[in-house]
Amino acid sequence: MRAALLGGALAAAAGALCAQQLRLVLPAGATRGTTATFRCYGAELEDTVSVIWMREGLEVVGLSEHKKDRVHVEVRIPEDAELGVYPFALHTKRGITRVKFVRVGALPSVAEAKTHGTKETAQKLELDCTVDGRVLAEDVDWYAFDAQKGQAIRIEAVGVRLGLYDLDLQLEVFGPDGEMVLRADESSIGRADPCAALRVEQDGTYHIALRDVAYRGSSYGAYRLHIGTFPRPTGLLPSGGRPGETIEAQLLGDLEPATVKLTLPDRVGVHEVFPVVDGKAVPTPVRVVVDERDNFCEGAAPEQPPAAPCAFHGVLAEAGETDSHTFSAKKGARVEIRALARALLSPLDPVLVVLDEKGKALTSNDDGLGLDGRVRFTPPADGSYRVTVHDHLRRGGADMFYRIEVGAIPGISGTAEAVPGRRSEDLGLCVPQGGRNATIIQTSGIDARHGVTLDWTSLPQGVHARPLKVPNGGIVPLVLEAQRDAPISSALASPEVTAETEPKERSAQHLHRYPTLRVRNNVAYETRALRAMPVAVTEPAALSVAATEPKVPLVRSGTMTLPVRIERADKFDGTVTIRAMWLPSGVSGTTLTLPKGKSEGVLTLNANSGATVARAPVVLSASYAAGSVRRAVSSEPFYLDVQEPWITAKLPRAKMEQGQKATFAIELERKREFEGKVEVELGRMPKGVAYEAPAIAADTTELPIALTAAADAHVGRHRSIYLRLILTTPHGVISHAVGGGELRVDRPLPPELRGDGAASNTDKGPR
Amino acid sequence: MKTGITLWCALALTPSLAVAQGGLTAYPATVTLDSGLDAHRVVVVASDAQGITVDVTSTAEVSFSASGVAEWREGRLVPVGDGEVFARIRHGGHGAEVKVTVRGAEDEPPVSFRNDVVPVLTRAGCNGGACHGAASGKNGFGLTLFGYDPARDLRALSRDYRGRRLDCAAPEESLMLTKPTGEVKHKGGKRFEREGEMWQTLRAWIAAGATDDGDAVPTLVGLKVEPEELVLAGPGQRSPLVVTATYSDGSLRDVTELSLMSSSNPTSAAVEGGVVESAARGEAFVMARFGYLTEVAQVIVLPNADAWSPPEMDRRNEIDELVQQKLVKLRLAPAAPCDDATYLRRVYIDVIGQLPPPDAVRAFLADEAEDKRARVVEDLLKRPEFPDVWAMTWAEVLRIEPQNLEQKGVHIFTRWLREALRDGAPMDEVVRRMLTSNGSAFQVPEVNYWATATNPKVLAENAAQTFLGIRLQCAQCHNHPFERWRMDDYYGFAAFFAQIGRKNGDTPRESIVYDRSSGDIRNERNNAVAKPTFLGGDVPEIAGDVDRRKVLAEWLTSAKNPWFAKNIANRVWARFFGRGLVHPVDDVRVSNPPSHPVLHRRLGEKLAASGFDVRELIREICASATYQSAQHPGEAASATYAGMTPRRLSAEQLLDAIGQVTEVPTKFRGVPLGQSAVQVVDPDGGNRFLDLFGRPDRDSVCTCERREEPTLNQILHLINGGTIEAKVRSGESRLARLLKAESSPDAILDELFLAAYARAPRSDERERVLRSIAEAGDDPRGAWEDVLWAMFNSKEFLFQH
Repeated sequence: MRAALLGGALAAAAGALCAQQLRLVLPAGATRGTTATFRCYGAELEDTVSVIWMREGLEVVGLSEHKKDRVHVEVRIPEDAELGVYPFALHTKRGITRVKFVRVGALPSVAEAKTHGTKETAQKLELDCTVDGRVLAEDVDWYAFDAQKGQAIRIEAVGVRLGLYDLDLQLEVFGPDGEMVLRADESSIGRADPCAALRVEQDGTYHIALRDVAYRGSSYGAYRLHIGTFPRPTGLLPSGGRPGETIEAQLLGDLEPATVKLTLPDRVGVHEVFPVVDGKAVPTPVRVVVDERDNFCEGAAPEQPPAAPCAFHGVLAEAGETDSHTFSAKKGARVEIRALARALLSPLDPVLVVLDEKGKALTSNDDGLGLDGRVRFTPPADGSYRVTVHDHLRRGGADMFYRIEVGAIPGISGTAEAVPGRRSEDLGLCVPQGGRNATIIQTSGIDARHGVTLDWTSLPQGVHARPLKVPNGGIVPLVLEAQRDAPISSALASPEVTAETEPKERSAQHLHRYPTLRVRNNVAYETRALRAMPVAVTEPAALSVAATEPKVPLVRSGTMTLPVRIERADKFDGTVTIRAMWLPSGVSGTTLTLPKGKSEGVLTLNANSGATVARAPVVLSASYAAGSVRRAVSSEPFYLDVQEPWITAKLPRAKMEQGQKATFAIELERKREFEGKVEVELGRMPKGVAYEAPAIAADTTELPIALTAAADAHVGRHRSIYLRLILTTPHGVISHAVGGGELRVDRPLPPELRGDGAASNTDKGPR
Repeated sequence: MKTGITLWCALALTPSLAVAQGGLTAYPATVTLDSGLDAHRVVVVASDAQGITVDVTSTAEVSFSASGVAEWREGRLVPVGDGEVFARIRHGGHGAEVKVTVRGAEDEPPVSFRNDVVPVLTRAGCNGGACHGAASGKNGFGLTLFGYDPARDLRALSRDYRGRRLDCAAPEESLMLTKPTGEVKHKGGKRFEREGEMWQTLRAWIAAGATDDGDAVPTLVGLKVEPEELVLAGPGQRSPLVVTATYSDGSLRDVTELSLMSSSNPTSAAVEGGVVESAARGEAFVMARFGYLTEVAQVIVLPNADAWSPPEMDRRNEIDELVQQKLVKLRLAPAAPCDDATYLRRVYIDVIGQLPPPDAVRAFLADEAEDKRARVVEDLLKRPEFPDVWAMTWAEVLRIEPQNLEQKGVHIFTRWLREALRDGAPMDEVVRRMLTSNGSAFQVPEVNYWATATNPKVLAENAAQTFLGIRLQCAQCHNHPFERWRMDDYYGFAAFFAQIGRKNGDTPRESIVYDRSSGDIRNERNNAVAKPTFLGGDVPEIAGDVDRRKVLAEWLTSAKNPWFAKNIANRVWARFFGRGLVHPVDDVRVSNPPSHPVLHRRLGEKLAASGFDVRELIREICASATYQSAQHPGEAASATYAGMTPRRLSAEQLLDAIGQVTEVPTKFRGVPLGQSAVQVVDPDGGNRFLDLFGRPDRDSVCTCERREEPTLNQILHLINGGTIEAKVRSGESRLARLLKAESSPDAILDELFLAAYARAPRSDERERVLRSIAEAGDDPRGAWEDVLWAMFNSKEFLFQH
């Protein structure tokens, strides 16, 4: 809600961090044990200095082709590099780009031929390779391969999963006789990406036609086509285990049944793994869940119902099948049960039902977690409970696997970047040499009452953070300063929290989810998580910005002016836009534009009547155009104190006639003691009505304001009269506004009606 | 070529032709007189040996098999005493009988609100759509359209407007009487006379307390307009009709004067005061509406009463037999058979939407085998273009377009249709699969059917119109004005679609359709939950967990369904003749009867008997002499099928044909070069030519969206538009190829004529063209382009003939 409220104010800042654009990476992947050159296309890339890898394992050995729209990155991929996706951003002297990806595979990479748009010109492939190609608009890419009868061939295309374009690939395979032997379109493992398995029935040359199903290709329509005899399961049974555990898992959904031994990662979470069968790894990963639960597979239930936390694994092989698992739970201990299927790339759309010992359904859920199910329930008694799962459309299949997790409701604790109005894929922070910049961090699970301070580690050399206490609401700026001589470098920073109640520092988890691709209506197609904050040092900024911390509070329904000044570097005379990067709920601020020649100005902050009463750190952001890139710096953090009004007032509903005098009697109440004088102003008074307010002393509670209406004063009912109370204290001015006043100005009665009492009964208001 | 004639010549004549044997018929054959006030008119028709009918009611002699039961008075039977008697009618040596049953001859029953008052309001036009039957009423007084909700009408009359519309103490002063008689200013004018029959009915009802008789009176169950068929010779012939209503208690009532009557073709037969008057030669259907029912009588008007003997007709199958029966009635001789070239071009365009290539024309013309026409049809049915054409045709009425479907949905749904048709999937199965589909619209192509609309009412309307040819829309708000469909029918049918569940899939663009097994739709007439009811009134028993759509699909696609097979067959028929036996094909209603009812029924039966194999029906149509006839030399209406009616090529056919003749294919937006206009799945293909020539946007399921009427823009585009110019001038064209190969002018001309017209040029055409080419000198390209351009603008090219 807060982000939404402030989104408008800061929307213009959104562009500031993505002026350097990385839109396309070709090829989209390479083979391990090779050195590959990735052509990165985008905008403002000519001063690229490095690559910020979000995952370790690859090494940049050279940058070349420094042009505005491209840079070539030469990468050495070690023989033992982990398979999978390597997200990265480009670091230029002026900023950082959004994240794109390269994929490291085990199969040799083949470049797409220049002309292979017809069956006759199909590009011949050897089996067990990965083609890096592109589907342009209205394009059909043809490939050919030889196969022998009985061979099991798998073909998988990775298009939309590359996060470059909303490609919806379909592939058709034609046999030696020209007949289509299979068509693949959607797949559970690749969503819109096709995945096919083919048992060859006759020797000969087979052809593949690959295209967007609606011919909507693009110059961004890169794909990787894996073809070969590798295993292609859609999932594992069981699809999870304990950290570091070695499990024996069945491969599900492949042409040939297989079992693999798999050592699970050490870290808790959902992981992508690459099972290997007969020395051949799957081309794209399957997913497993690693946590501390006990795992039970279908058909191997323990004698006693296991207690939570536990997990059950199974497959709904037959249409209409319902699987049932029993667990024990204690009365009153709230339990969360999750049926994971789509999250693990299973085609199943699970429906969960929880039943008691007598078979009475207690609760059920279909789509609590996307298409997966989640229920939370409180067991009414100690005992065993049953959880059943079936497919929503009552389908069944050898690959329709699931994992049911039973356990306590998980708490969430950590940080994420949350600049209002900025897209979540515009992540990371650029700090100019000798300057300062900030971003906004949303914390969760960190209780401000414990006096938690948030600091950051693993920052680039010469950069340090300003530790700040996390206020109520959990939103705190991250302010980084770089020394003048800090090298232009980058790092992945991590949060660190210190509680006043705890003597030692402890690390917090940074988890920032961002979409890899947006499709129609800017909806995220798929999201990935980043567990660190990319920070990059950039060349010096052309200015610095500073504001004086207000010494007085901003009160609800009040206004405050905030003097701001900038210091321009030599020769910089451009326009600077300044705004608060984030303001507490209920507080809004103006945007200040300092044109050429100006270095000072005032921001106005307004608090509405429901503004959050708190003391919160605030930073100002100043942005300017540096050529075609917009750069930003921030002020030092300062605290904004939002308080209840110091004085309250009650405005009357009064009436008067043209040419008459009247009194507008206001009741005042001092809510707290303070030094200083109070002045009042009436706002939105009708034209032709003058007022005179008496002096206000410390004990004034009644404030009769004398009104004088001119003979032509504006007749009518004026309902928006408000009172401005200006408190001038030794530390500054606190401005209150109190609404609710009303003044009715009437025309005088005709002389013949005056004094006979007719007016009292025939008052029809203004005429 | 005339095989099979003998089989069908032996067929018995249809019952309607029995009248042609000559004789006397009295209508109705049975009359009940149910009170002392009752009367029933009788129409007596004499027919001669030619089948021409003449009204002889006024001159017929009437006697009774027994006395004291009924009397004949001014063309009506009136009661005398209870009993049963036969009225014996004689004229010109022929006789007929009417069975009369009199009950309650002494009774004078009170006026019924439902059975007497509401019909008067309908007859007087009070509750018509233009008057108080409008949705918002008129001048503060609203009645239900044609009295579909009498209870609400009674409220409007007796309660609304502070009850001032009725005055039971002084009935004559009631606004209900003074307004329509014009005694009080009435914007709707004078509707009936004071003291007239309608006035008396209303007055008596008001005087009796203006009460509703609710369920106490029998309800209307049937309607008949007689004679069902009139054959009038020459203009100015008058022949009365009698409209008989049947009620739930078995009583019959003469409602001729209370019925609303209209003619489908007033230039041939007008109807006024229940009497048909003939005019120009032709055929008309006279519709009579009473209560919620509508029925029609057929009127054939011949030019004169001269004797006519039908010429020998080429009959190859049952289609010819049934078409020619009508021709005989209309005294029309069918057109001569078309020549081979015409047939080949016709059958290519109709079956696969393409012109025959010159080689195919040459081969066909040179072929002397008897069965070559059947063989070419057989070959075309196997061509990949055949499913393309039919997939496009169905995609139009299924509304496969990217506004409601995703682009992907458009592609995969169309492909599914195409492959189903290619593989010969029976049409009933195709429809069943669509109607019962569940799952992701990206994984199960036919699920996209449910993306074409989401509102259950719209889905019901669309399904009825697309698969049954029935337009139900009117009955959403009131009883259908020209059909029997009532609001109860509408909501009962819509209830089949009330439990469709939808949810988002894994990706933002994907949606999943499933059966919710819960959810209802309420009848807006009475706010009651509508029970799933088949059209026609049968209410199936559906268990709670059974998908209602499955039950619907079984009924809808059953061979016994009275509309489904006929509708599919009629759509196929329309493609080959340019008009349906019911026309438009998606407007089946009593008031729009088929031009050939028996043929309509038989085509449906044939389709069902063949396992809904459309190809089988196409074979039979293409084999018929009716399809193989040339254009009719006279002015025979297209609905008679006396000859082939020329029709402009459709937008896609035309553009593809121009591309074929020039050998310059059209590039459509979003698809690779090489796809024909028929194959383009997106109706918004960004092609101006297709838009101009009427390619539908697929905004509705109505076939009327395909615009076939000519426009000035079309003509201008053909004369100097970019489409033809670009193709004619292209350096990659057929012309360029022929010129480059230095073909002789004769050969080039032959090739162009064969490609465009599927025939060789006539000698006069050859002489004119070659002269102009010769005049062009050394660079004849421009002259050839002019020739080609002129050919594209010729009717012979633009029309299917």
